[in-house]
Amino acid sequence: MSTPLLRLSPLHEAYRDQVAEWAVVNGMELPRAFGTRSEASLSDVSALARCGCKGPGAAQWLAAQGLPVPGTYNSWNSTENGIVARLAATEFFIEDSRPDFIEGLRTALGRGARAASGPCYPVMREDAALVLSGPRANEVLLQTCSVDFASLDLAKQPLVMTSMIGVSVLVIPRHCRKDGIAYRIWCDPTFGPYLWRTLLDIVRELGGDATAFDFSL
Amino acid sequence: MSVGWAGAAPLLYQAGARMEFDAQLQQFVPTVLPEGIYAAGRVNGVYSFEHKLDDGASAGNAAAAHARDPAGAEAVAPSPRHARAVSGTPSHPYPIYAHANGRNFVDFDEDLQLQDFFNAAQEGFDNIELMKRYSTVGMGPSQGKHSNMNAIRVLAKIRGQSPGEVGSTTARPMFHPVPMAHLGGRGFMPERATPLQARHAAAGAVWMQAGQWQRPEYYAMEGQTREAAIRAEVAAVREAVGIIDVGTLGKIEIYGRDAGAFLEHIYTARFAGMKPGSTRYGLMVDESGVVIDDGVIARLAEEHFYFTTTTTGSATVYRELTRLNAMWRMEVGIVNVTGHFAAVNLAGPRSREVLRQLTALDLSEAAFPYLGAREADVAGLPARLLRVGFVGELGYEIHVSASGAAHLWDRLIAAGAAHGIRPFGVEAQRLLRLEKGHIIIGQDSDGVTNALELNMDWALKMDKPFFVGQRSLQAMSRLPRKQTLVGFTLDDAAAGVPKECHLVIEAGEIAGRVTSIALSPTLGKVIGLALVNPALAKTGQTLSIRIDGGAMVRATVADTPFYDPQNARQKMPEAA
Repeated sequence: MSTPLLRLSPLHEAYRDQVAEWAVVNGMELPRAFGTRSEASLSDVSALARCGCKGPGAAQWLAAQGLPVPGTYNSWNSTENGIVARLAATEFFIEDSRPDFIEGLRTALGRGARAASGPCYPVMREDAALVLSGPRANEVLLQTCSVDFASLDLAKQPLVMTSMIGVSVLVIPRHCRKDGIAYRIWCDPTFGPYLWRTLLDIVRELGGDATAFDFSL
Repeated sequence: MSVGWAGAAPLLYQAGARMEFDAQLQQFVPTVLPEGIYAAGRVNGVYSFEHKLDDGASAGNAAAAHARDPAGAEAVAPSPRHARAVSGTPSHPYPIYAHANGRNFVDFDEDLQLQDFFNAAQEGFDNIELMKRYSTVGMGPSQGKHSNMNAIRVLAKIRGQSPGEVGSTTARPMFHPVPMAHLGGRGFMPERATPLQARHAAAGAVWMQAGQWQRPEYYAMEGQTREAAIRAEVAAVREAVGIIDVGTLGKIEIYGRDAGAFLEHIYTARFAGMKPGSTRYGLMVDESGVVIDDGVIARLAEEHFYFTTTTTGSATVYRELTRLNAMWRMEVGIVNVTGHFAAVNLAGPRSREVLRQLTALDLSEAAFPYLGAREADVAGLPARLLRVGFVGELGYEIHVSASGAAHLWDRLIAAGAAHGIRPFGVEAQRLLRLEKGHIIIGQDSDGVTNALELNMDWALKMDKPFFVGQRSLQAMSRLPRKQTLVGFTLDDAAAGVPKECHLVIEAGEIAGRVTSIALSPTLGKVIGLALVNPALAKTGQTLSIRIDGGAMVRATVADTPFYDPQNARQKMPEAA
């Protein structure tokens, strides 16, 4: 018996009419096939699980959970199946491909925990999450925000918080095998459809398209 | 207000053009242009379309000739005089008419009134350059684009000279026209959508703008007018069950040891002693006692509160809370989860029966009473449930993660089908809350309305040690009120129905304004709220309201709530 579908991506309505074949990832319906990638591609990865925490004790609490806490804010560290990003001195964002792992963190934190350095509080994260990649991806960013991503030293694992087409976003640029640099972008889910439509418009102008993300990689 | 044109001449001034005042045109026009500089259009005093085309062609030809051969005869700037309109001027010679009792603004940037110019001249600052520096006319964001010419006219009148004799001020860089890149570039208009947008569209939503959101104003039904559709939505809520997407409300969480004390500082009510599992109305005022936001505050646990703000207030409230705690240093964590939670209000006498199909939570009146808050699974999703009464019926605000919203909506619609469930939009909600006499901040209040004027004394715990705005409210409570919010019913709708913002007139003077008004299908009459002079606030008092066209209609001040004043609808017996 199939499990009833409970979750929809915040971007679902933005591309629903363009998708013929669907897959279910972490209980969320996502495109199995989309356009063909070329100069730039935009993918929906909102199905990845995520959570956040903040407070004076957040760094210590995360470290106590065995997570590699970035030493400085506006940077991130890899975990086995995801990332830990430091948004501020006392605020963190965790994303992982295993929903059980995130659920475990949420349960452990409950309504808050206390470390030696102070309290740590949970932050609900239902972000719209995108991947922008391809040879002309940086051109999309040049048209939509004021950060020069080409000048960043990716070895320092930077995280950028900026405004993109009027929407507050987190962006992590990282090297990837297939496309050179891929940009992970997160925003408030209610801005997701607008961000997706606008970015896709520019991506298509540059010879790219929406693509289905391969979660098996 | 439009009383003519003031040519955008600063760039010509900066280039060294000589300008003189043309009395026929009532504007400064260039008489001598520097080499290689050409002007065309209204700055030349040319207004008709054909003349502007001619003027543009001749300036353009001269500019092209100058580019080819700067010393050539064709490169000389053509005199613009030949092209000027001869059919009069669109500019009034003196468009300033003093009003004996009013404020006569000349510069809207700097709030300068006519009297400020008279005062400046009287103090001896009667040269245009001195007057500019003394009064700051033209120094605001618009760089004098709308005020400089009128300031010159005012000074000319004071000195008994022509504007040409008064002259103009020196135009200095930077002059900011609209950059071409702004016109040619991609236009971005951020918009927000709740996760139920597609459900609304499928149900026939007719959209309305609410800040950055698009919200269903009502749901169109085939063969029904807008009014009939709204009436049907109201009837569904009053008689059966309705569902509305309230995901646009701001949603904020406060954690920590000081969470209750922090909210006591922010809101006017008491929260420290509130029991987990309960909700309370929260009214927020600023330092001057002006009402700025409201919402429902739920205590989910000893150190965990979850509360809503107005749709447009979430970011402002969150920023303000963060700012205040940067000063107060209380032990709290403030989290803005507005977009991360979706919310619907399931309301109506049959809402309990619909919800009961989807949750194991005990919904009995004893177990989950009015103003209660619970956490439980609904349709398989972890949910927060608040017993609220904004629309005046038994109702449950159900908050779930944004990604689960569509699933929740579908299940509620399916469970409510046998009970006649109907989605309702913002218009029906406005009407339902008006029948209940509930205010909407920003509609029934404005940027200067304080809590006392809204008769919200009941929400003000003045004996608390502190809340933001308390001192101002204490001071104002000792003074006579300037206005009071009252309910009213219209005496005779056939004589004409006022609109929001129509004025209440008493003895020929403005004595208030209508803030909300609608035909109540439940009560069968037109009801409304108005901010009026306190002398007119007594129940039974007749109000005269001026409607479109100038006719006066009569209304009578009435007690609120108009509907269910005893709140009996919140204690509906359970269905057998």
